[in-house]
Amino acid sequence: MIKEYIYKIKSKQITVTEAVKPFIEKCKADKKGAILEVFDSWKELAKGVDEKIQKGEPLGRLAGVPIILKDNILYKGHRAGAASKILDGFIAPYSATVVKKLLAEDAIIIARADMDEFAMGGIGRYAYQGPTKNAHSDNHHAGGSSSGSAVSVALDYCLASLGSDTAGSVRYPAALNGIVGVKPTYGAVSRYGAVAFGSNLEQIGVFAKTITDTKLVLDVISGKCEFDATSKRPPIQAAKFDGLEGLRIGRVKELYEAFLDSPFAPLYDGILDNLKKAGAKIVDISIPNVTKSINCYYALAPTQAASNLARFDGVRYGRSVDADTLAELYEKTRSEGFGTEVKRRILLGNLMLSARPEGREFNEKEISNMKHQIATEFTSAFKKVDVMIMPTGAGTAPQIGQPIDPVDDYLVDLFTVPANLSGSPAVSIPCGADENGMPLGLQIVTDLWNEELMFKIAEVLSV
Amino acid sequence: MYKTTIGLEIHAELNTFTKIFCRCLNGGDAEPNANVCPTCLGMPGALPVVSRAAIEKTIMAGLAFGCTINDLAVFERKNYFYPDLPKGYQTTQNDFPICLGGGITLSNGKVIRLNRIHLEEDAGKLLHDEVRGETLIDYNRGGTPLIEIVTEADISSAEEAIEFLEEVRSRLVFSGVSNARMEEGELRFDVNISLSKTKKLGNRIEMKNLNSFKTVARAIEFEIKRQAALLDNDREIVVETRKWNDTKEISTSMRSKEDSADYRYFPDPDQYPIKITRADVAAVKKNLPKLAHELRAYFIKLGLSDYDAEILTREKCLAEFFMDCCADKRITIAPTEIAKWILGDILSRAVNFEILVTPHQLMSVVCLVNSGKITRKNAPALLDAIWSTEKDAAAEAKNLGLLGGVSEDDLVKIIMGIIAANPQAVEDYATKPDKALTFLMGQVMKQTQGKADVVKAREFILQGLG
Amino acid sequence: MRKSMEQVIGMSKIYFNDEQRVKLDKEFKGILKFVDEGGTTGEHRAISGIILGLGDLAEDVPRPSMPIEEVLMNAPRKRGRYFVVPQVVE
Repeated sequence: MIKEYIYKIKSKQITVTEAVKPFIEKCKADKKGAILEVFDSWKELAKGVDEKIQKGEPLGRLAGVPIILKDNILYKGHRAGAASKILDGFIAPYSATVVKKLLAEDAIIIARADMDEFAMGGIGRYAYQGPTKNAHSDNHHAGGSSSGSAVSVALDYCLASLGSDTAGSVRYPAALNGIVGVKPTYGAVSRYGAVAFGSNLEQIGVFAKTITDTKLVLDVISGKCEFDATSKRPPIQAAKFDGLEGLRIGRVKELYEAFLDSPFAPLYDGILDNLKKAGAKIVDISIPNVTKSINCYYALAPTQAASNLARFDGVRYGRSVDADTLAELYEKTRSEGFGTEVKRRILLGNLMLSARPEGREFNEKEISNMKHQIATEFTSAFKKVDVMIMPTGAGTAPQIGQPIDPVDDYLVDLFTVPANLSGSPAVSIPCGADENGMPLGLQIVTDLWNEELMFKIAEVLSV
Repeated sequence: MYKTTIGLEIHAELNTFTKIFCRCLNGGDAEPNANVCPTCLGMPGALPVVSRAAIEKTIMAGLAFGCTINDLAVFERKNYFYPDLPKGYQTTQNDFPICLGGGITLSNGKVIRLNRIHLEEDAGKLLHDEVRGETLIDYNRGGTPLIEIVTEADISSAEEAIEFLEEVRSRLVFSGVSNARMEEGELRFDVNISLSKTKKLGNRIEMKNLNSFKTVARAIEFEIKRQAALLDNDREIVVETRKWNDTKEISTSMRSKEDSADYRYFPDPDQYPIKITRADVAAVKKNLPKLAHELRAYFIKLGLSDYDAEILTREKCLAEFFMDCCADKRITIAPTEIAKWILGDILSRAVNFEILVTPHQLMSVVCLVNSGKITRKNAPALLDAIWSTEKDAAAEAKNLGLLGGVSEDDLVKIIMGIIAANPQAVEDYATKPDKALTFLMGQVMKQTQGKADVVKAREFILQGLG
Repeated sequence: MRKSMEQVIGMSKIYFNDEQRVKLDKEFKGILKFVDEGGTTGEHRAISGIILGLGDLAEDVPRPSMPIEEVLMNAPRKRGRYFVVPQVVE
């Protein structure tokens, strides 16, 4: 899709300004609560690229492509808020590395998308404008936390969007809206300029309609960044993919066991059967500690959140109350600025960090060690298999207004969190729908830095 | 009598070019908030990137104090709220400091052990405006790399504390890791002190951010008196942080801010642990400059007195100046002679040890004197003229008309001639030595048009008279 | 020794009413139990999988700083080149 779009522009069939306009109109007409703001600056960007075309100058790989940013990614001179009141009025004084990279390839950044506040949520119900509506149904959630970014791509507000994935926040909304969503290997994409939540769990991810488009945008934003000490230049990986014949596909016993009673189990079993028929080897593997991923994540993520959100104090930016004392400034600003869910996680995080139950030295280091354990086991599994395939989430989008079934909540996290703990790359692709047309997602996970193989398999499965 | 137990924490700013976690300029005299960036301002989305130089200088400091260098360095977050702390946490080291152990031996033979040296970031500066009831914040200093040197509670008096701190400062400067200028706040001290009659340690108090040796001494002495008085009356010493008021010279109880604050240390998830290999340490050791006590021993070997060697190693710039002068190949001269020049003419001119001539310039002056081209008496005037300039000594001597002194050989010849020509004066010398000497000196001056070196002339005359 | 809910709330600099405190305390205990069920090795190793060497670290080369306009752009309170807060009592 992007390729064809760029071709039209490069061959001067249409100017960038004309090409982007319909996307802008769609953004402005959004009724899903997906868009927070359309950036006026798109016109200048478009003009700039049009001038380049007229002058015959070389163009970037995303020339004229309209892209939407999740509200937690900073774009210099533009508002960014992580969907929180505490950042009301905040104008980014610098651009995230990923934004710089997009602009360097002549992309047109057109809007910022709504999300769960500070990326803390898996459904999209804690968004700034209220629960984001699913692209396919106003009565269903869009999934989160990158709710707006997913809906935007599904409804063609843009050709690709950026999100962030701390526990499935790109993959899950991608599945629920019937599009492609990828979380790269931890360290593949710079986090500099993305408002931090789970520092050693999250990565900026990409949404698009096709694998090709997703791959292209991911490639543009990837790379070692001098401002992010956790980013890395990918080691050279020979992605040997000789087709499905003989491909070892891992079916994680513990994950599928949890999914047995789901009405969608037959669908996924069917997918694996087809793969088997095509010559792939379905390997049943056991990763006993994978079920502990949730325990680990629930303990770990809030600790990082509590610390990462301490900088929002009304002193240097964002919302700030009129206060007579410093203590009042801090407490009132934060109490008024943070939403309930965010406050809950901050307190839980601080309780976790200072917790030392009697008779036991229990602290963050122990939880981190648990993370390391699970991560090691998970990535070791790739010695026995080339790829793991599993559902992205428990099922289709939950209904807005209905209480969330805690079992479903658990399952949603169960399939996506292991890849965050281990840093493994994972992509969700559409794989069907329920009787109401609500989409389902299939998740493909490979070993660290094996995005090449992951995308190749995804392509085959997309057919 | 009470036994005093003192432990010290010293914070020293490293003299790297950039801040610890970002590449803003470290130090300098910039306007408020001129050396800042998203990282050291704690902006949303900003991340820390540690410089190798900060780690290496910490290793260097560890070597200078005889510490063990750990093979793993981990940065942790110390969480608390304060306006000079933009992230709401300080990135520091907790369980995996770079250096452990080490120590310094005092002149009385006592060893003051170190517990550790770790690396952390400094906070911004607060300026309190009482009139408007506001506090202003400047983040230039925020992110400056700081090493924290923690001692064991081995110190027993203010004198020991000061001697210890002087040696600490010397090692920091001579090893090249910190400029340690207390006036600039590059060296700050926390004091922990308790008194006890028994072997069991008493309750201790802490005083933070003392900024000079004098302050530390005064604060310690005050606390000893205060605590002794309380203990004399069987009163309890409250465990607390006390504020030292240097103008009033008293310590006061601070309202316990976050005394029971739990800093909730945990490893910074934005950074990876750093391995320090033996090869890394060896490489740093190779570049470790000589420390003051090592140079002192070396200068004494060169013939200097203990006293002179001690003065010349009080400041690194002084020691280096001396060594550079000794290395000047234009003249063969005893190091003790050079030391005399420095301890006399240079130090008398250097305000706060700031030497405003180069070793080359000084040695040029020395060459001019020793070759007789100018008199020793005229040397100070020449030095004044070239001080804080880049002027060439010989050229300036010419400009000032100081040139044309008499060489030693010529002087001897002239003096012998005058003695030979004035037998009366020689006779008079036996009975009226001063009068004779004055007369002969007058003759010498007349014959040399006043250009003879007075000191040398007198010397040679006396020699000539037998 | 566990810090009291009161102390931890103080550290968070957020206001919680009684109802919220009770709810959160319950939830926290639940998570602790949950983590307990997950089991841990009891080891304390803060060592992640990736460890850097000195050679991976940044060079000590200065970069230009932010212009003051951008620094203070979002400041809720400023005076001249300074950020301002209500006076800190030390």
